[in-house]
Amino acid sequence: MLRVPHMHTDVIKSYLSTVPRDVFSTMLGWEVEPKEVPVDPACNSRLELRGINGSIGFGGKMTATLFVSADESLARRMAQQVLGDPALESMHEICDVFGEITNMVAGGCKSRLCDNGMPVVMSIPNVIRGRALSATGRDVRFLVRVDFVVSASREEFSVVLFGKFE
Amino acid sequence: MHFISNFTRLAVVEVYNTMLSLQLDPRDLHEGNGLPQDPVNGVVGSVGFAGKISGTLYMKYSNSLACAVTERLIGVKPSSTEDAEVNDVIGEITNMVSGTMKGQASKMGYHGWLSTPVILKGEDIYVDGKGAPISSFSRFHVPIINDALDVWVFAKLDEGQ
Repeated sequence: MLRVPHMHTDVIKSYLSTVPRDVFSTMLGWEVEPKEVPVDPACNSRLELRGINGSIGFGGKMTATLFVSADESLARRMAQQVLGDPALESMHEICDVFGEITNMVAGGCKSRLCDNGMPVVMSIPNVIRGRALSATGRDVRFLVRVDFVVSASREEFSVVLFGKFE
Repeated sequence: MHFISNFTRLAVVEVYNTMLSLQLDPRDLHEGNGLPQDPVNGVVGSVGFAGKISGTLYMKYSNSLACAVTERLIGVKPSSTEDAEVNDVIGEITNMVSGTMKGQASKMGYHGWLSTPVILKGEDIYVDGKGAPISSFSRFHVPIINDALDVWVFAKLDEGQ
């Protein structure tokens, strides 16, 4: 069973609920809304991931990894929107845009953490693709997940942060 | 060869020798653009690092290699890669390799923190380093088990004060 002060996970959840909304609004002009995700009482640190995933690590007062996880179809539409090319199909560019969106989400969370007495540093974004993907963290003391719905299309994506506080 | 590539290759050999009594044979090395990207059906151990050196290290295993390495370390053959012990072993090896590599980089002034070890599983797994300034791929032959271990590092160095 994961044991984390209640305040910390509530604060993390507030960041994960608001930062992606800001990023999607600014970068894509899209409205996205967080969904309620049932809390897993087993506090399992295994995540089922979607087809395309941006990943960034954090170190410092918090050791953690953040994932932004979406279906490839949504990632393609995101890249088409950001680059202004409705016919864009290049996986290289799709990954570039998805990695940059992930970087901005992580950066927004980092800023809030640092401003609130939890100095952290970020690694650089990578993009992971695959089928039947799952991720399991080691030495995980908290896991916060927020699912989002793109208001216009009802497509979904997830933002997850798991790790531990030092 | 970039020193990050060198430190990584040495770290992999050292950890496998120390932890598993396996003398890996480093073979292919690729750096820069156009790294080999064969999709993986199996297990990928990953650890990020952040600070004066930032990036992620990935160690890719076939399902059979992941189980064989786990058995060699703990003495019990896992029934599949879904066993928790596989996560523990792959995660620990990845953490040790990253820590060893980062430790060598720290001696050169590139200090950093490790992030959470993550074990990825699935099919057709591709990892894209998004054009990281330092991109490196190494393939090692794993003796006795007779399989290949692929290691990617995507990183950047903060040259500022």
